[in-house]
Amino acid sequence: MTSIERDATSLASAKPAMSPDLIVQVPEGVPAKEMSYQEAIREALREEMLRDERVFLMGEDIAKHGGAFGVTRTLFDQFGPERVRNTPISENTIVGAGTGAALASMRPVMEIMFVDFSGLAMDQICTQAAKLRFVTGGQCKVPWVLRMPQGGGAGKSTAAQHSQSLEIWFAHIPGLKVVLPSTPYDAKGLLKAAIRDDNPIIFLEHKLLYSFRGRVPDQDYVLPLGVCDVKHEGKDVTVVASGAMVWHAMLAANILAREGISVEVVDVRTISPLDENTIGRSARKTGRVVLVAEPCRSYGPTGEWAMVVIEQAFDYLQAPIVRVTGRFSPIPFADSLEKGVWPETDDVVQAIRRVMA
Amino acid sequence: MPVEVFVHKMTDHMESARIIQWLVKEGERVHEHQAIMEVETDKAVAELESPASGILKGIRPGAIEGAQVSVGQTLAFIAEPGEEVPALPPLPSESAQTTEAVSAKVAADTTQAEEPGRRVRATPAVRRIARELNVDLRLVRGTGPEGKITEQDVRVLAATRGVAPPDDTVTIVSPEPVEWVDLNTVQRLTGQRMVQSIQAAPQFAMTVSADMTNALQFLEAPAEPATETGESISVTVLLVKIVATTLKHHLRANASFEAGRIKVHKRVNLGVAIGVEEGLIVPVIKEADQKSLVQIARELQIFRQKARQMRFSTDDLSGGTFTISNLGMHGIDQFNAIVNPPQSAVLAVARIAKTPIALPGNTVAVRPMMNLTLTVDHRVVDGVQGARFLAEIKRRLEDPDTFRELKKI
Amino acid sequence: MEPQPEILLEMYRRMVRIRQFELAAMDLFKRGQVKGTVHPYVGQEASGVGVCMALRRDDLVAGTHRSHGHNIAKGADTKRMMAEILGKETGYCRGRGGSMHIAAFEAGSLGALSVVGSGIPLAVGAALAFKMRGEDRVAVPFTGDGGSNTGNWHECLNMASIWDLPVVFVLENNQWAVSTKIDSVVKVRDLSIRAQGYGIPGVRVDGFDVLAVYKAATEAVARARRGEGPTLLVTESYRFEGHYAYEPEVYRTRAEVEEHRKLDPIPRFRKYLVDNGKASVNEVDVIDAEVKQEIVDAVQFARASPPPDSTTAMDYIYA
Repeated sequence: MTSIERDATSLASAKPAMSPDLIVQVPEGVPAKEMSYQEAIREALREEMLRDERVFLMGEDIAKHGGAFGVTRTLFDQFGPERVRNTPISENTIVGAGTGAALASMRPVMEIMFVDFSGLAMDQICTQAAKLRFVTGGQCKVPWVLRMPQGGGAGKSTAAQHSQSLEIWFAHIPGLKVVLPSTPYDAKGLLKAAIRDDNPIIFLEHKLLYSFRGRVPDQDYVLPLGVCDVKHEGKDVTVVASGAMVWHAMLAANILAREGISVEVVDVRTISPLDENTIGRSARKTGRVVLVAEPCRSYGPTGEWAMVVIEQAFDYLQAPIVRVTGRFSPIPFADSLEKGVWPETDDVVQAIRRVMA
Repeated sequence: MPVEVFVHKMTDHMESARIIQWLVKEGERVHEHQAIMEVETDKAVAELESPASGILKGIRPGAIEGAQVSVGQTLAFIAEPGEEVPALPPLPSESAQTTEAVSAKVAADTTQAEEPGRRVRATPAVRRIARELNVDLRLVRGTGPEGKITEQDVRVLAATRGVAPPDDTVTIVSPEPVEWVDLNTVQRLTGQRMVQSIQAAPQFAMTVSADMTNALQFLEAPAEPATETGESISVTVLLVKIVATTLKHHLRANASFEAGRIKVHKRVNLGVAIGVEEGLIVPVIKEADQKSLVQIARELQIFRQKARQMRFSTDDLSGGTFTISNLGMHGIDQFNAIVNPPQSAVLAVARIAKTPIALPGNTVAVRPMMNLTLTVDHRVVDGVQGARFLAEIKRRLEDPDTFRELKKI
Repeated sequence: MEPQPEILLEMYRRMVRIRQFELAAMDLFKRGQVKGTVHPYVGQEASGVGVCMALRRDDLVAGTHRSHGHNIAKGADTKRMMAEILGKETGYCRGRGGSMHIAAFEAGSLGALSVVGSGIPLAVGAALAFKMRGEDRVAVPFTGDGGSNTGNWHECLNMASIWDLPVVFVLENNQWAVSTKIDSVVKVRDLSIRAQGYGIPGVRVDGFDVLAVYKAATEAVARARRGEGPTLLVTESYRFEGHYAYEPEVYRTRAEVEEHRKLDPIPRFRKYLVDNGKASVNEVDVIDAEVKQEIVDAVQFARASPPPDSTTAMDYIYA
């Protein structure tokens, strides 16, 4: 193992290597500003609230305090207490009232402080909001967005009840859409799309990515939901990744490029509905696939992606599909126990080597 | 400026050579004209000299013992200490650059093929290519790790196959009366082995006529002690014993060609070809040289019984190092058998016929003569080696001392 | 002040309509023509009608699993209701919802919601929308005694109270949550005092007296429209039938049920109307006959309607 491969380990300690230049989505020459993932989300909220007066925010501590992660900072000052509403600690009713308001033609954007708290609201999210349009035979629609921070990272972990990645809970429910952006550019464009979409949308924000920076165009733009983004083209191996794992995949691609291995990185972006075509096309192109996702291994998203690869590209596979995932365990507190809980860049590099062998 | 190391043309028609061994290691200092490699050309073994003085660096991956390399193909560099040399792409694992070089592809142990229902190992991508080229993967011998079939294996078979694809459009003017016979497992596997044998091994045959007078006298004498089930000692049994014993002194004919090297088997496991309804079966008498005639006879009898019901165990059919095939009972005067891979030699036994032969002194006598034809894989056994072996078998068959010895056991 | 005669007659008509509808639904269920089950509102008609008659068409109600009555009280069409129970394309929910999700949005009903308590936040959210847009519309979630123990219920009373939302929380205490009697799961006998914990008024009325319910509901709705915030309105009634149609009610005595049947709100109101000269016997009889026919027509319509086309099975999952 050379020192090059040990460049980046955990997401937190790898940050210096993960500069904005690692993922470039806005070409030079396009008027843009460099901003953080957190700021990009705030800009999306601001722009959509200006554009459509039916859009309002609800959540705990989101008003003057600006939210637990500071995402809604300054919005209270700009829009006031009616449209930036602090709520009591009542997750189920935050979502339920949001659903009711949506039924009455508003477009609420709710915040639950940690995805780990979504358990308290599962009835309103999965049993009510997801199904109301269907069970009423189309008499109504539920146009809301539920924003929830999720995820963890070594050294910065907030332990077992504040660090999970639970996108698959919601991806399994027909009627919901689930989005997980990896960059500031994607976060802003996808959140705007989510707010304009007429369905209930779970918008998951990786809390360690809040400080990651990237260029965001000045001009208004919206990105399509349900479409993967090929963040790096390659021909030897396909790496499908989501959320913070995309950064590990990109860094791994850079490392392996020096060895003459050409890695294609596919950022899933929308967990559900899943863009199976882009994944399939890439797998057919390279014949070798590595899947990287933060949720723990068992019944995580990589199982679903692997079946998509098999359904779309079986006859082109040159090697078994390999996955890199979180460990199947609650997330421990002590630093010494955290290692191995989440995938690191090196794990992705090794997985790629295995699939190339 | 690094100097390239490559195999130069040494003979008229030389296009490639086989690396026998490197004589120096990566990083060693060599001087100009120093022998750095041994190679085998189409004619002989030769030494490759270093083209310059300096450090041997950057050996091409795959340029190892047994590898086939092309004339002029860069294999390494001679460079100054600290001087960087380019990274050479690895040699392909089988050296076949052209489809004529099928012979360079080595078969894995045949025993795998003899088990019905052997699993074909190939990736989905390779399977698709096989489908597209109409190649039956069961006929392909894989050269990848653990017998895995590679794309190259499939493409080579497709290219060297001389049969038109079944979907050839041929207008039938008047239908020929035909009957379709499907191959059973035995026939299919035998055919597969024979195809591989012919493709891979350069074979040639040589024949002797043995005077069986003394042998027949021995065989017709009252047997001692009679076997439990009353088998008599047949010519085949006798041959098994004599051939096995002779092989012990000619182990070169008791060998396999594997990965560019000759694998000499120390034990002599003699396969005896038996014709059954299903086809040809070759059960193996293990360590035949150690067994008595009676033991060999008994084993053969059991094999014949098993053959009637096709109830052989895997062990019965595996581990053979040499094969005897006897068509004498069908009145055949002489025939050339095909080597049974991965073995390197096979003995074809024909009928004993009363034949007028010339004796010393130019008189003529009528003797019971039997033709024995040895077919060998030239990679393992050359003409002289084969001839000596075959001559020895003849000698023993004709020598009365042989039978005196045998009487004692 | 008592409402005009037309309103009184309409109240009567709606109660009879609910009763006849429920009996017909139970009959269809008995004949094996209804998939799943139905939860009859029999005996509670005065509660639903009293409240809904105090509402405008553009006010919203949210129901429970026992909401045929709420939908009909709010003005739903019985043909489309019956068609939905039979799972037909002509039903309100195009056969996708059935009895437990039946919703007449055009009549201002967000429908039946089958998870106990989950309809309440929807009404609270709608009320929030009304307030944010400066509309004087009101949202009315119905719950039962059982539902008033859910987290939903308490979170909702709290949230509606802090924001002074235009909500009337109607708690229909029919005394039984499946097999559980109310007094075994609540410490207080008078559920309306729970409102005090949230700083809102709590009112308790006889749920068998449609006029009493109507009066209390009118006051609560007026408060809400004035922007004075939510009210908790508890109607004391009783569930005449089982939790679901033809449930073997092993947990309560025949005698107890018969005692309460004597309080049946429909004959009681009929008597009130006739005795006090609000309507003639004939007028009331005519209503009975018309509603009976209406329900016969509804059943016929429902039976004759086509089921949903299986090729549309994936419709309405996403907007």
